Order: sequence, then structure tokens, then C-alpha cells
Amino acid sequence: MRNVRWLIFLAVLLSLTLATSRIIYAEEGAAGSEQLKLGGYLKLDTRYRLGEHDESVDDMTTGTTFQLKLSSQVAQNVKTFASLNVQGLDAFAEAPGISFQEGYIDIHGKNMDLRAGKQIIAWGTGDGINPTDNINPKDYSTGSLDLEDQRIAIPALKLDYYLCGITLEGAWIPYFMPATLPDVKGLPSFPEGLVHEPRKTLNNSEYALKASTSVQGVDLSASYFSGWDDWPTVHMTLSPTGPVMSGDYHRLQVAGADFSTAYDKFTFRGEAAYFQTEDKDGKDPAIANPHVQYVLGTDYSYNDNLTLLAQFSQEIKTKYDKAIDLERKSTSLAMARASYKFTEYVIGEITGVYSIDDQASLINPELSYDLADATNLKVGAVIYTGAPDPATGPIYMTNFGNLDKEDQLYVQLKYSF
Amino acid sequence: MSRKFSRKMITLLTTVFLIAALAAAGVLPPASPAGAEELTARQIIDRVADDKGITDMSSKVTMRIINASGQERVRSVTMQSKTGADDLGKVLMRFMAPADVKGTAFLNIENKGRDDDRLLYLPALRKVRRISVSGRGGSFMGSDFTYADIGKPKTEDYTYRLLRSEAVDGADTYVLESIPKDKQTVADLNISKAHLWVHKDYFVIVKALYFDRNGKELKLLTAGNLQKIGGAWFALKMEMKNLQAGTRTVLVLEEVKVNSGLPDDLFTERSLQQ
Repeated sequence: MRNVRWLIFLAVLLSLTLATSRIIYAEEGAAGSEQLKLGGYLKLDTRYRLGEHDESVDDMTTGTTFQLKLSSQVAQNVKTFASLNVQGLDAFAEAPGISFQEGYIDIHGKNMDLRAGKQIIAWGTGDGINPTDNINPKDYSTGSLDLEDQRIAIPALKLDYYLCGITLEGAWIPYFMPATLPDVKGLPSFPEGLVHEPRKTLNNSEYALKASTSVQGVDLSASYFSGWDDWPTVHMTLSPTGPVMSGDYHRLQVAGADFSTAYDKFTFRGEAAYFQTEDKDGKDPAIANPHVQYVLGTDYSYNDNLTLLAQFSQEIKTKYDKAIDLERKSTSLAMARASYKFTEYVIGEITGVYSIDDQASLINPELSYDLADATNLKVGAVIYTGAPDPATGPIYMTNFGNLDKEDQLYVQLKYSF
Repeated sequence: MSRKFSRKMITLLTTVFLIAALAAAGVLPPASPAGAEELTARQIIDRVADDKGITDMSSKVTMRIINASGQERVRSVTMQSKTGADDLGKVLMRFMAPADVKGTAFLNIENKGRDDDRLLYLPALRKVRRISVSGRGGSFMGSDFTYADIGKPKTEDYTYRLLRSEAVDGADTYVLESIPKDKQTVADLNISKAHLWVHKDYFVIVKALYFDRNGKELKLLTAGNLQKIGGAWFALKMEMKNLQAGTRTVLVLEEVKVNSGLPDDLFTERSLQQ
């Protein structure tokens, strides 16, 4: 039903975009607003699982995505944008389909910008780990580590107000959208229909606030989010026929701050947030405990060809009872990345993320080659090391150990236009 | 793509000062013919480098990058720049082509007493990122031009000597020799010296020959299509040949406007994202 509603909205928006573009172009010609602009990409993604794994899982998956982006300057201070994905164009696809990615209208005032529609709002300065970035849910089902592939656009009303060098942002999300969970052996899964999403009521809507500024080359921001945890939790209840498992979403409040600055060839970034969950006392093992998460990182550019990045993040539960909590009180991740430009069109990169507590890691070597203008080929691998926690198995997820049979090679070809 | 581009931009864009300075080499009004021959090498280069009279500029820059096999790639950006009353510059660049980087934007703001602010907007990430400084000798967008070639000339880093006068394509020029003052500049740019042909009337560099650290000819610049815009002279077409690698880049400036009153709020993080 939601898809139908969005497709209707998309149709209306596209019609409006086309109509206004034509009208304005006809009225104002070259001196007036812009015509409709088209862009997008075609991406082929093939992944091959390595090593031993469950025979019920395919060795190879392929995905083809065609994304079309449309934008138009409707009037001097009004712009529209829409993008839609056509997926599953290849022979292996089970269910080809069209999905409406983003679609919004921008209105620019003297000291304010308003964006209304389905959109992505990305906060935080960390690389890949952003404690303050809680507005958009993520799609973990694609297997891609690229944030561009993971973020799910949400319907929202966003207002930016500019006052004396400070930017104030406010976003209202009328209803909750959950994360798309990975379909991976070794991770908890939820039977179809047993996960209950919050009802679409005003009380269940989400909102977020942020104030940011820059002082002497240091970017600073403070933010607050009130909404829902994108991941459901498992609940077991007893019924006359036996135990019943269900998944529920829980309220979440996040207060955070971040900074970034540059000195010579170094860039420094940091981000921290406090997560207040529904389990305020940390007594409910099914609900995430209140916790603090922070990220500190730096990158260094050497000789124009080599870029190095190092980042450390930690999550610490502020309420913790060892007797009932299956997870650790704190978990720490160390990340490093080296990127080397062999030529202007060939870049090699290796990223490693190490879970210090679990002694598990993710390693992602990748070679990127620009075959021609706007045509890029990537070849890489995702390798997990470590093992599930021996005491709790799949219930307590070590950061990468549960994925140790998910190693894969991938080839990605992307043409942009 | 975004991560790749972020990486690229960090290494490629961090020392872009002013593409406006592509033309800064020729923004002065013609020198008085009388007494022109009496100018010293330093006076000549100061007149080349001086951007007096130009407070803002906008243009479209297109580069055709041709490798030794003749294969061609195209890069296109729009550029807007402004110099404030404090003589500090601001530059906003938006990438138009190739398509995979379209929408990316870069803002550089010069500061007094501290590093420039360099902000990069990556549309795929929907984020503005602060980035660090990069070397002046790095390739500009994969072309045969370096940041030093297109940036505002740092004439204080070189000593100049007037070699002779010579005609280039029918125009009288001064031929200057420039030599880096310190080893660091030599190492950064991989240039031991250069010969510069400066148009005697317009004080535009119309030809330059660069020598590598071993004294061998490395790159040859030729500039043409000199036009007077807003009272200043611009070389709207430049070609840089790498004589050792066999590559070349043709750079064309179009839709050049100067002193059009670009507003200060164009050079903000807010504008970067629009």
C-alpha cells in the first residue's frame, strides 16, 4: 500500500516537474529557469561467496540497478528532485521492480531552506561509523559496504535556518521506517509477519534537531534525535501452543556532538553520542541498554598518491548487569585504510576493521579502475575472520565472527550519465 | 563511488587556490609602450602576477586530456571566485563532467594567519567534508596541469632573469628564466627551472617551457585566444604538453565574467550543497 502511495506521489511529482519545466522554459527561455535535467547510472554487481557455506545459499548473486535522477529549477528559489531505481534487470533476478528512491521539493529563502519529501539526511563526521546519524534507516541486505547503497530515504520535512554563523536544522519524520535486515546465516532472523512496526500516529513520529557552526577552522555541531531504533528486538512469549517469538521496535533518544578540523596534510574527526533506550535501567535483556558511542579518526594525505586513515570507536553500556546481559559491556573497533593512486584512473585500497574484544575482523581490498569517463570497474573482496561467541553462538553477535562464512568476491561495473 | 571520489578529491583538490588565476597571468592592462623595454625581470613578473582590478570572476573550465595513445577524457567545472577587501580569496568549483562526479562541489576560503578552509561536498554521501592540504605539484584533475600551474603564481618562491626578447606567433614577448629559490620547491614541483614568454603588451604568459630536476625539457605550455574581458586580458585557451610522457591537455575557459558582483553568501557551506 505504501509503495502504491509513493508511486502515485512520484507520478505527481514527475508530472509537476515536467510541466513546470516546460512552462518556465517556454516563458523565460534561456534567461529563466533551467530545463529538466536527467542523470543517473547503470550498475552491475556480481558477488561470489568464498569457502564453505550452507548449500541452501547460492554461490553467486547478481544485481543490476538502473537509477534515473531528475531535477529541475522550477523557479529562482524552488527546485525539485526525484530519483527512482529499476532493479533486477538481469536473468537471475527473482522479482524485478521499480522503487522510488528520493523525491523532494526545495524552497530557498533568505535565511532558510525547506526540503519536503522523501530524502536522505546524513549527519556525523566519522568514516562509516556515525553515532549521530540516526535519521535514515539502512538497507543491509545488499551486501554492499558502501553507504551510498545502504541508506534508505525517508519521508521528512526538513528546515535549515541560518543565524549569525550558526546553522539550525530541524527534521520531522511523520512515520517510522525500519532497517532492512541482512539475510545472512548466523545472524538472528525474524519470521515473516511477526515483526510489529509502530503504528503511523503523530505520537510515533520522529524528529531531530541540530546546531552547527565553524570556529577558526574547526567544525562543531550538537544534535538530538527522538525516534525509534531501526533494529527490532526479539521477544519470547508463552501461548497455549507453546513459546512464540516476535520482533518489536523500541523508542530511542540520542544526544550527540561532532567536530572536524584540518591541519597541514592531516584531517581530524570525532563524534560521540549518548543513546537513551527504553531499557533505562538495563534490566531487560531483550532491549538494548543505554550506551555511549564515540569515534575518533584522522586521515593523512602523503605525496598526493597515498592516503592513510585510522579510526577508533567504542561503545560502552552505561547500564549493565552481567547476570542478564548477553553482550559485552563495551566493544571497541579499530579501523585502518590505505588508498594508493597508481595512476589517475587506477586506485588500490585496503580497509581493515578489527574488533578488539571479539578478536574478529573485516578486510576489504579493492581495486578501482576508470575504464572511461564515467565508467568505473571495481574488483574486491570482503573477508571476515573470527568466530561466533562459543558460549552464546548466534544469539550474541560478535562484530564479524558470525559472518565468517560470508566471505565474498565482488565485481562492480558502473556507468554514470 | 563516493568513497573513491572523496579519496580523489582529498588528494586532488586540496591546494586549488584560484582557477581564476588561470587568467591572473594576464589581468593587467597593457603596459605603456614607452619604457617597456626598461622593465626588470621582477617588474615584469609582478605585472603578470598582479590581479589588481579584478575582484570577482566566474567561468566554465573544460579540459581535454589526451594520453600518448590519443585517447581522450574530458573534465568540466564551473568556477566562481572572489577576492575580499582583505585581499583574501574564495573559490567555489562545481563539477559538471564526467557524470560520476557531477554535483560534487569544492569551496576554498583563504584565511589570514591559518590554513585555508577547504570544504568538499559529496552528493552521494549528502555531506560536506573538511579536507586537508595537498601538494602543489600534484596533477590537477588528472591533467598535465599541476596545481602550481593553475594556481596563483607564488613569484616570491623564484628568482627571475630577463634572457631576451622574442616574437611568438607575431607577438613581442619578454623571455624570462625562473629558478626556484629552495630545494623544497624543486622537490614539490619536480621543476628545476622554466622559461616564460610574456606578452609585452598584455603581460600574459603565452608560452612556457619547464625543465625537470635533471635539466631535461619536461613540459611545454602554449596559451592563446587572448581576449580582453572587463578591462583585463585573458588567455582563454591553453595547452600543456608533457614532452616526456607524450600526453597533453587542452584547457578552455568559456563564459568568463569579471567584476559581476558575486555575493559573499555564494561562498558558504550552505551554497556548496545547493
